[in-house]
Amino acid sequence: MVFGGAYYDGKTARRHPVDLSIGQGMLHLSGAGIRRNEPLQRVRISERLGNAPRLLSFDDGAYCEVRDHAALEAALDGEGHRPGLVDRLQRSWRAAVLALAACVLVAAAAYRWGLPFAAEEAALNMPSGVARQLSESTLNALDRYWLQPSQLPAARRQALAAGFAALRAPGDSASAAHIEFRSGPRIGPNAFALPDGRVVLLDQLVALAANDQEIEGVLAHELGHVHYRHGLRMLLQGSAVALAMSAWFGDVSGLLAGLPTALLQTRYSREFESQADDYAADMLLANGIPPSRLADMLQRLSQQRRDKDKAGGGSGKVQEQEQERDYLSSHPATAARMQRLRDADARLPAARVNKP
Amino acid sequence: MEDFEKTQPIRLGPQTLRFHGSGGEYFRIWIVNLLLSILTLGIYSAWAKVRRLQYFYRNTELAGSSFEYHGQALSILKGRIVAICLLLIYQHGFDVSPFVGVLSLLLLGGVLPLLLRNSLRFRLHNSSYRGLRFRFKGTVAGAYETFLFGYLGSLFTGFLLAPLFHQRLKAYQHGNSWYGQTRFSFSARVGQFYGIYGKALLLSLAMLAVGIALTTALAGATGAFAQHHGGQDPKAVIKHLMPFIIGAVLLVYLPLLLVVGPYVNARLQNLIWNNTRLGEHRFESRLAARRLFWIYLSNFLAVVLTLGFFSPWAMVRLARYHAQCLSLVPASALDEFVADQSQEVGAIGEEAAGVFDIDIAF
Repeated sequence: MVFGGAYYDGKTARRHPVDLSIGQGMLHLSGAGIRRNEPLQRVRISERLGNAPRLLSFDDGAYCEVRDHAALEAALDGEGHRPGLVDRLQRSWRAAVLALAACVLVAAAAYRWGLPFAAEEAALNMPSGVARQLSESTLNALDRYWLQPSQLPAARRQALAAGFAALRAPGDSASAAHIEFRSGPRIGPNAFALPDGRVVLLDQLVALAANDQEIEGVLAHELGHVHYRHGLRMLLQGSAVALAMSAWFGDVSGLLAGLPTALLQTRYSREFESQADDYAADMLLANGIPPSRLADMLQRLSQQRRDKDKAGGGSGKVQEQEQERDYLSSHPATAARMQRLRDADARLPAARVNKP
Repeated sequence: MEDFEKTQPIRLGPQTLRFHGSGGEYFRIWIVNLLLSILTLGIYSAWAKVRRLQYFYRNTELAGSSFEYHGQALSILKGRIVAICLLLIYQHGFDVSPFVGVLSLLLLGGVLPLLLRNSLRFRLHNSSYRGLRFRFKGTVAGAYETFLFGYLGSLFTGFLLAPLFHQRLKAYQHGNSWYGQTRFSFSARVGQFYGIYGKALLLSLAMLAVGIALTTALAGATGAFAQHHGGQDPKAVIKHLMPFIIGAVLLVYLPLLLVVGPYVNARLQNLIWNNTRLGEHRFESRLAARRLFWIYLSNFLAVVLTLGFFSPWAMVRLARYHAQCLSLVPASALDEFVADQSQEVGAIGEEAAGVFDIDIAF
C-alpha cells in the first residue's frame, strides 16, 4: 500500500512530497528527485500521539512527516511492527479511565499509609541536632512575638518541675524531658511540646488548674507527643502534603494549594491527639494519678473558652472563629476524649490513688 | 489527506500558526504518563515532558508543516537532578550557617546565567521546522551581562529595574536565535516595557483600592450594625470579624491575579512578537487581554471543580488561542525563503558531542 508523506532531508528546509510504502522489512520513499530505500530497523518510528503527524527519522538527520495514520499503521502492522505498551495505553479511553482511577487510589494510599510511615521513620531517625535546632528557632520565634518570661515564683516552678521530673513512663527508668516556663497572655492556657522533647508550660494553664495533678495530666499528654515525635511528624507530613499540593495545583494558584493542605492535616492531628491521650493515661496510671485528672483539665479548658465567648458576646460565627485559634481546636471531639480518659480510671486500684 | 501532502501552494500573505490538538486526546496521553510518573516517584516525568512537548510541537502547524521536538528524556532528567540539588542548596544554605547561606546564594547567582543560556540552547537546538533545527548562539558573556541588570536591579532598586531586565532578557533570547542561516532580531524598546508594567501597576493599585474600600465599608457597616442592635463595642466585633475581612480581601486578591495576569501577558506577548523579526520577515501577535482573561478564568474554575483533572483541556485551549494569535508575515514568498535555508556545517557534530546534553527548565 502506498501512502503520502512529506520528506525533509535535514540539510535544507525544502519540503518534498513523497509516496511511501513498506514491504519486506524495507521503507521505500519516492518523489520528485527523491528516492530512498532504508531497512525498517534503521528507521526511528515515533510513537503515535493523538492525531499529531508521526515521524519516520533517519540516521542522517532527515525525517518524513506522515499524517495518514491508518495507512501507516496498516503498513507497519503488516511488517509485524507493534506499537509499544505506553503507546497503546495512550490511545485507549479505557486505559485512561483506569489510569485515572489508579492515580486517585495511589494518591489516597500514599496519604493514608505511605506518608505517615515515611514521616515516622524520618522523625525517628532524624539527628538530634536537627531537632534541637528546629526547637530552638521555634521557641525563639515564640519568645519574640507571643511569649513572656514566667511570672510564677521560683518555688512554685521548682515544685512543678519536680512533679514533671517524677512522671515516669511505664517501663522507663528516667525521664529525659525538660520543662520550660513561660507566660502567654495572648495565647491563654496552653502547654506544648517542642520537637527535641522540651515541654513549654504557660502560667495561664497553671492558674486555671485546680490542682497539680491536672497540670501533670496535660504534661503527660505533651510527653506522649514527644514520645511519638508527633511534632516532627506533623512538620514532615505537612511539608510533604504542601509540596504535593503545590506541584498539583501550583500552576493554577498558590492560594488554592493551601486550603486542601490545611484540610488534609487535620486528620493526622486527630490521630495524634488520641495517641497522646492513651500514652498520658498509661503514664498517669503508673504514677498513681487517675487519668480523669486530664479529663477534668480538658473540661476546664473548654469551659473557660465558652465563658470567654460569652463575655465577648460574639455571635455564633465569632465563636467558630475563636475556636480556630483555641488550644482545643487541634484537640477535636473533646467530649469523646474526656469519656475515654475517665473510663481509664477503672484500671487504677483505689488503694494506689495518690491524693492531689 | 492526499491533497494536503501533494499540493504546495505559493504562500504570500500572513501565515497564522494553527494548533490541531484536542483536550480528550491529550488527556489520554497525560493521565497514562502521570500514573507512570507517580509510580516511579517522579523519574518518569522526564519522559512525560518529552511527550507533552512532542504533542504540542507536532500539533502546531505553520504553512502546512508542523514543528518537532527532539529533546531526550535523559537530558531532561539530568537537568532536573541538577535543579533539585541547586534548590536544596538554596533552601538549606541558611540553616547551616549565615556564611554558607550567603555562599550558596552567590553560587546560585553565579551559575544562573550559565544555566539559562544552556537551557535556551537546549530548547532551540531540539526544536525543528521542516527538518531544520533552530539554533541559539547567545554567548556566556552575553548571559552574564544580561543578568547583571537583573541582579543590580533587585539588589538596589527593588522591582524598579524589572522591565529593563525583561527587555534585556528578551533581546538576548530573540536576538541570538537562528533558523537556518537567518537570524532573528528584536527591536522592542525599554520604554515600551516600562509602559506595560506601569499600566499593570496602576491597574493592580486601582483594584486593590477598590478591594480595601469595599472591605473597610463592610467591616464598618457590620460594626455599626452590632452597636446599634446589640449595644456591643464595634471595635471588639470588628476584631472578631478580622478573619472574614481578610477572607474578603483575598477574594479581591484572586480576581486581581486573574485580571492583571492576562493583561500583562497579552500586552507583553504582543509587544515582544510584534517587535521580533526573522530576517526581513516579521511576526504579528494579536492576543486580546479580555479573551485571555476569559480563558484563564474558565480554565481556573474548571481545574478547581475537577480537582485538577481538567488541566489537559485547559492546556490545549490555551495553546490553541496562543497559536491562532501569532502569524508570520513574510516579506517575500515564504516557501522560497524556507527552501533556501540549510543547516550549518558541523551542526550535527555539535549535537553528538553532547555539549547541550542537559536541560534545566525555568
